[in-house]
Amino acid sequence: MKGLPGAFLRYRIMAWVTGVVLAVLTLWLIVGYGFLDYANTESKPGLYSLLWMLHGWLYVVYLIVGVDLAFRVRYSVVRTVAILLAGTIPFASFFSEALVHKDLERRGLLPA
Amino acid sequence: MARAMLRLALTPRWLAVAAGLVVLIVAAVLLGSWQWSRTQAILTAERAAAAEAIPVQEALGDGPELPAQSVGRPVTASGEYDATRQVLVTDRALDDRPGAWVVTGLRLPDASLVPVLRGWVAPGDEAAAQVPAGPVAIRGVLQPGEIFYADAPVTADSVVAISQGSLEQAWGEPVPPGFVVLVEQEPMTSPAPLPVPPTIQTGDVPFPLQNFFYAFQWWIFAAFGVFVYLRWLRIEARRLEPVD
Repeated sequence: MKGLPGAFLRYRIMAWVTGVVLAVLTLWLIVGYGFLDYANTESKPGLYSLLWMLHGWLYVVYLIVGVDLAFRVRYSVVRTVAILLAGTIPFASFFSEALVHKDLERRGLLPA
Repeated sequence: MARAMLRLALTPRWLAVAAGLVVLIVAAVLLGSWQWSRTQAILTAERAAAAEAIPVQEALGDGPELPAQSVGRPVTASGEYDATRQVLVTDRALDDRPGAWVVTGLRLPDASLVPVLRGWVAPGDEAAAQVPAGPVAIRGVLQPGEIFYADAPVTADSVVAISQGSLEQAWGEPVPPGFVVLVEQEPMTSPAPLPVPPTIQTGDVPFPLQNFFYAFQWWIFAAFGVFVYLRWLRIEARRLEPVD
C-alpha cells in the first residue's frame, strides 16, 4: 500500500478534471446541436473542438492513474473496468470518485 | 516467473480475461482505423472544396490582407481589362529566356480593380502585351502580393515586384492585396503573353486534428489493455506462487 495516498490523490484530481471537462462538453453539445446549428461544421467554434481533443488526452491520463490506483488497492477486473469507463460517461466520474473514496476510508487505507 | 504466468494465463478464468482483451483490442484497433480514415476523408473533402473555383471577390475578402485559405485558390472573374492599368514586371525569365511579366488591371462590374498576371512577353514584344478590349471571363489562381524589392522604383508602366504598394503607386488607385495568375481567358486574344505557372499551387486546408488524435488514442487504449493484462497476470502469478 506504499504511496496509496498519492495514487488516490492523482486519481481524484483526474476524476474531477476529466469529469468537469466532460460535463461542460456535454452541456455545450446539447446547446450547440440543439440551438446553435453545430451540425453545420462552420458554426462550430474552435474552442469546442479543442476541448474535445483535450478531453481525449485527459482520459488517457485518467486511464493511467485509474489503473495505477486499482492495482494498488487490488480491485477486481470488473470494478476496475467500471472505474475506467466512468471517465467516458458524463458525470459518472464524480460518483466513481466518491465510491472509491468511501471504500478506501472504510478499509482504513487513507490517513485520517 | 514466466512459466508461472503462462500456467495462470491458461486457466479458464484468465482465458476468459484474455478473450475479453482480444475483443477490446480488435474494437480499439478498428475504431482507431475508422478515425484515421475519417481524418483522410475530411482532408480529401476539404481539398476538393478548396480546388473549386470561386468568384475572386469572395476569395479576396474585405480585410487588408489576403485570407490564408485564399492563397493558391482557383478563382473566376468577369470584367474588362483597363488599358490604362497595365505594367510590365521587369526581369522575369521564362525557361531561361529573358523578358517581362504583364500585369493588367481587370475592371470588375463594381468598378473595383483586380491585378491579373496575364503572362510572359519577350523584350519589346508589344503586340503580345496588347490589352484585350471588351468583356472577358477569366479563370486563374490567386496569389499573395510579392514582398521582395519593396523599395524598388515604380513608373506608370513598369514595376519590379507585383506588390499592392507598387501597383497602387503605378496606377494611383487602390488594389487588393493579391493578384490572379491567369489560367484561362474567354475570349482569348492573339497574340497574347505566354502563360506562367502560379508560384503557390494550392492553399492550405484546416487539418482535422481531433479525428487524428482520436485515432491514436484508440490505438493507445489497445496497447494499454495489453499492458494492464500482463501486469495483472504477473501480480496474480506472484501472489499464487511466491518464488523468492
